[in-house]
Amino acid sequence: MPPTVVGFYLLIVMDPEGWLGGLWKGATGSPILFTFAGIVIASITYSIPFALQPMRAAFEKIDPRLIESARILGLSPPAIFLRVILPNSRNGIAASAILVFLHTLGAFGVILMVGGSVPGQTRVVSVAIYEAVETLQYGSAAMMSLALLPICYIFLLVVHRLTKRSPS
Amino acid sequence: MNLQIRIRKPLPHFELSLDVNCPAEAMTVVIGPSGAGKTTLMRIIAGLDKPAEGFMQFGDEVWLDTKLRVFVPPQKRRLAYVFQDYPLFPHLSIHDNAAFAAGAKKDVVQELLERFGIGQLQDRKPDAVSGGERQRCAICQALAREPRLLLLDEPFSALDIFTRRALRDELRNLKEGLGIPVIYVTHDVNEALYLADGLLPIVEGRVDREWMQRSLARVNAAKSERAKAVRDPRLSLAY
Amino acid sequence: MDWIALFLSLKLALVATAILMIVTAPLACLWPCRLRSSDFTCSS
Repeated sequence: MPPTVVGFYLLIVMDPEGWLGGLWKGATGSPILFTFAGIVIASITYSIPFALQPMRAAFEKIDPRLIESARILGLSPPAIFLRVILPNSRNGIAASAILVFLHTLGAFGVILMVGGSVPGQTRVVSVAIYEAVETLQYGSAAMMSLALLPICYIFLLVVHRLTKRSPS
Repeated sequence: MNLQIRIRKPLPHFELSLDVNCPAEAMTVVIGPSGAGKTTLMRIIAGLDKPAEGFMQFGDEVWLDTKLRVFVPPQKRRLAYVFQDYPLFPHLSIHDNAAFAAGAKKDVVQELLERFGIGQLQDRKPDAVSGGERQRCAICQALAREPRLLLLDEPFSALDIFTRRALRDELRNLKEGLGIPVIYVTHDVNEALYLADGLLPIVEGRVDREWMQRSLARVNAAKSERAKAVRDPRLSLAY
Repeated sequence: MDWIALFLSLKLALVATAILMIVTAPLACLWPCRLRSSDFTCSS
């Protein structure tokens, strides 16, 4: 789905009239649109597939016999999850975390729709770069882009190394 | 405590249909050709598979009764199950693997590791020890839980003959001190005769005493051949 | 140069990742049990 479409639906749901916006307003007394909490929820929704996919791949790679023997050894399902599944899919979880991190860092359309551009609240760097370019402040835009590059590069490098090496 | 089993489960080529009783404090050896339903039987006893219908009782505890919809999940049966090429937890050391079970006691684990001769390897990861040592660890892991019933499904058949013999001897010694029923699956008649207190021959899902008689006859016939083989080095290549 | 925006982006990414990991890990784990033939961790 295009980010602006996700953003549009989120906008409707998170509107003070919408169910999530209404719920939030009931709990905190203020609307959720154009706040930091709002863009957190938006980017989570936007990134769910990127979190699920590598994690599921890692979980499916675990030998089902390990789970069977853990059951016979007396572990309850939550204990199996913590003591067998999580430690054996660390790489997949790390890869999924980094993908989500980068994907959120790059989110633009969703955040602009749901959060707008409130300085100190919802004006994240992708939005700031866009606005800098719009107002012809090319120097500022270049600086911010330059600051993002090494961050993204390092994270991608880590993803690459984690996904290449077979788990344990 | 003895184990009573009365089950029926359709399998792709035949139906597993058994009514047997495994006596307490004895080693019952389940023997039969490959694909006779032996592993399925073990998985049903462990609670990893469910039969189409049946009843299973351990001591006075009902583990399974399809009529009354009773099913005790594997984690509550307090039994141990070691199978061929048993997977140890790759992220844990030999010691932590042995101590993995719920409620494993530290001193019991240490004693078991020493007893099976892998005490000096306890800080290594499973992929850094040999297959025989891994299987020893699997047995320690199984026993550390102080199980009430021990299931062994061809536990040594992936090992070389020397390691297999050594472990078989250790198991025979161990059995005396355990005082719990042991069910051992194999397709090797010699192994069965060496270990068993009671034999349970299964062919195509049913108890088949005749098959056992024929196999025993074949083993006896081969005995003189083997005696010859020891004397005659050319023949010995065949064994 | 908007340092606050940069900081906000990193904060957003970290918070979103943390929440998403905690929530989706158990979900992703329960998912395949419906597809597998033998009962998985979630049954029983």
